[in-house]
Amino acid sequence: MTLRVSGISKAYGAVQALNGCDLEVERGQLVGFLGPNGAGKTTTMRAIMGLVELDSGTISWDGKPMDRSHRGRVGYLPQERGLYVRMSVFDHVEYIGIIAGLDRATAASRADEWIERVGLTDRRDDKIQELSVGNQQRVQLAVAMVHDPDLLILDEPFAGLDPVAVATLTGVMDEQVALGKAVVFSSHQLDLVQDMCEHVTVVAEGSTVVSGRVHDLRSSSPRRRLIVTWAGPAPSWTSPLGETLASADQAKTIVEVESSADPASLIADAAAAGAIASVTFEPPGLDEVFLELVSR
Amino acid sequence: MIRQVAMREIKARGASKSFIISTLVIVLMGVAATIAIAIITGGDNGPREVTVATATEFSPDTLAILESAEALGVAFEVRSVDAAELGALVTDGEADVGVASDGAVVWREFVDSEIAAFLVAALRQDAVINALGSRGIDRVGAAEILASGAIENRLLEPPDDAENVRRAVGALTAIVTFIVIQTFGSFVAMGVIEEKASRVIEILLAHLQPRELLAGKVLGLGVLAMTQAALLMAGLAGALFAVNDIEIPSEVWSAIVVGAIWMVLGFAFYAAALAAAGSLVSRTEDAQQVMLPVMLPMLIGYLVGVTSADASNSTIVRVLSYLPVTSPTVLPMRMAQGGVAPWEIAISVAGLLLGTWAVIRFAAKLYEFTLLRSGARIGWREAFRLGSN
Repeated sequence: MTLRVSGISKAYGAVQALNGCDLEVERGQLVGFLGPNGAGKTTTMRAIMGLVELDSGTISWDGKPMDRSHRGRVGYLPQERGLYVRMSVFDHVEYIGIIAGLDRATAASRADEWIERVGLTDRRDDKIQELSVGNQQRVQLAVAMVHDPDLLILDEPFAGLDPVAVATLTGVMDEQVALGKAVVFSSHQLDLVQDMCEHVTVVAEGSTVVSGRVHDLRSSSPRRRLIVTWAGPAPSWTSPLGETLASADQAKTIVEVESSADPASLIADAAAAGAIASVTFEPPGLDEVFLELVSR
Repeated sequence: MIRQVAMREIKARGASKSFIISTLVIVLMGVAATIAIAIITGGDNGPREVTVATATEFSPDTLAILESAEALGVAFEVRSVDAAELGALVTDGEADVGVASDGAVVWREFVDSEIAAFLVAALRQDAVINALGSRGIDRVGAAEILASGAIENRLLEPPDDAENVRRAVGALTAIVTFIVIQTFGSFVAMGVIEEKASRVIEILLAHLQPRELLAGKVLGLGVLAMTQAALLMAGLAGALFAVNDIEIPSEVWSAIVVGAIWMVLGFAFYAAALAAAGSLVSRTEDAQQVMLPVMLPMLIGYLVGVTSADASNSTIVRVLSYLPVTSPTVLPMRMAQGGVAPWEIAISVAGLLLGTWAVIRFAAKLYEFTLLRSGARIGWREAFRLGSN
C-alpha cells in the first residue's frame, strides 16, 4: 500500500498554490510533510481527499488512481476542523463510523473506544459546541480514526493541542504505524517534528524541495555544531575553526564548524579552557537545513 | 447510505427542543384559530333563526305555515308577549319582528321581505278565515278551502352547508403546504450551508456521494415536515369537529389526499431547489439572498391559492394549478372547490413529477460542483451552467 502524489499543480487565479508537488507514503511509514505557511501542504492533503480539482498531476493508491472507494479508507484530520457542532460527541463519532460502512453496533463500540482513547468519556453525551477548541480537536481525531483507516492524513494535527493531547496523538500515530498503516502529517514547525518521524517531505512554494530520511537530510548539511555545556561559568573560549554563535544559555558555548572538522580536537581544545559538563556535535536542525535548501 | 443521512437529519433536527416547541406552538395556534373562527361563524351552518314576538295569539294554521318555512332554511320561533313590551323587544333586537295586537307587523329599521312574505301570508290566511267565518262559513270549511289552494315550496338546490367547509379545507391545505415547504425547505438550505461553513462536508464527502447527502437530507427533513403537517391537519380537523357538528363533503377528503400528495412532491421539488441554492454560498449570512428567488414563485402560488376561493376556475388559477412551481398550493385549493377535471389533475401531477425529477437531477449535479467551493457566492448563471452540464 503506497500513496503516491506526483507532480500535482493547482492555480487559484494568479496564485500558483501547487507547482509540481510530490509526496510518497509507504505502509508502516510515518512521513512528516513540512514547509512554511503557504507552501501547499494543505492543498496537497485536500487534493488527496478529492477536495481540490487539480490542474495536472496524479494521485494514486497502490498504483491505481485514488477514488472515492480509497478515500473511504482514509482517516482525514483537516486543518480547519469540520464537525456538526450541535451533535453529541458520541453521536457524531458513531455517525461517521456508520457512513464509513460500519454496522451500527460496531460503529457504536468503536466510537466509545476512541472517545475513551482521546480522553473524552466524561463528555461523551455533551454537544460538541459545548467543548473547548482543544477538546473539539480530540473529537476530530476520534472521527478520523473510528473506521480504522489504512491511511491517515493529518493536517497540522498538533496545532492548539495541550501536552497531554500531544502525547495522546503521538501515541496514536506511533501505534498506527506499528500496525502497518501509512501516516502522513503536516507541520510548519520543523524543529518540533524532526525527532518524531524518520521520513520527511519538505515543500516550499508549491513544489517538493526534498524528501528523505531526517538523518540523511541533516547529515547532508555542510555544517556541524559543537555545543559545549560548561560545569561552571562559561570561560571566554572560542575556536579558530568556526564561528561562535550567540546562546541564551550562559552555561553553553555553541560553535559552528565545517562538517569536515574533527570533533575530537575541538573538544580537547574546549576542555583545555574549562571544565565541561556535556558536549554534543551534530548537524543543524531541520529548520536550518530547510533554509539552506531553499536558499540554494 | 441515504437512510443513514436521513436518520441523522431526523435525530438532529427532530429531537431538538426548538423543533418540538415550534411544532407544539404551530399546532396549538392552528387549533386556537380554528376554534375562534368556528365560534365566530358558527351560526352560519344551521337554518336562519327568526324570533317573532306576538301580542296576538297565532292560530294553528298560521303556526303550520310558519313551520313550513323550515324547508327554505328559515326557522320561526314564536313568543307570545304583552302588547306593552312588544315595541321594546323589537327595538332591542331580542325579537327580529313583532306582531302587534291589531295584527300589524312591526319592524325595527327595515322590512325583511323574505320573512315578511312568510309572516304576512300566514297572518293573512288567518285573517281570511276569520273574514269568511264572519260571513257564515265555518272555520274548518274555510281552512279546507284555503288549504286546497296551498302552494308548495320546492327547492332545486338545497342550502349548501358544505360550501364553507370546502373553502376552509382548501385554504387550510394551501396554508399548511406553504408553511411546511417554507419552514422545512429553509432547514434544508440552512443545513447545506452549515455543512459547507463548518467544513464537516470535507469529512462527509470521503464517505458519501453528494447526491446521497442531498437525498438523505431532503428525505429526513421531509419525514419531519410531513409529521408536522399531519399533526397540524389533525389538530385543525379535531378542532373543527369539536366545535361544529360538520358533515364533511366527499370532495374534501379527496382534496386532503391530493393535498398530501402535492405536499410531498412539492416539498421534494422545493427542498431540492433550496439545497442547490444553499450550496451556492458558504456563509449562513448569505442564506436569505439565495433562498428568496426560489421561494418567490411558491409565495405567489400560495397567495393565489388562498385568495382564489371565488375564482377557482379562472384561467390564471387554472394555469397556476398546472405549473409545478405553484401547483402544490393552488391545485388542492381548486380540488376542494370541486369541478377539477381528471385530465387537469393528470397534467398537474405529470408536471410536478417531471419538475421534481428535473430539479433533483439538476440539484445533485450542481451540488457536486458547488459543495467544495468556499468563499464568494456562486452566481445563478454559473450555477445553471454547472447544473445542466
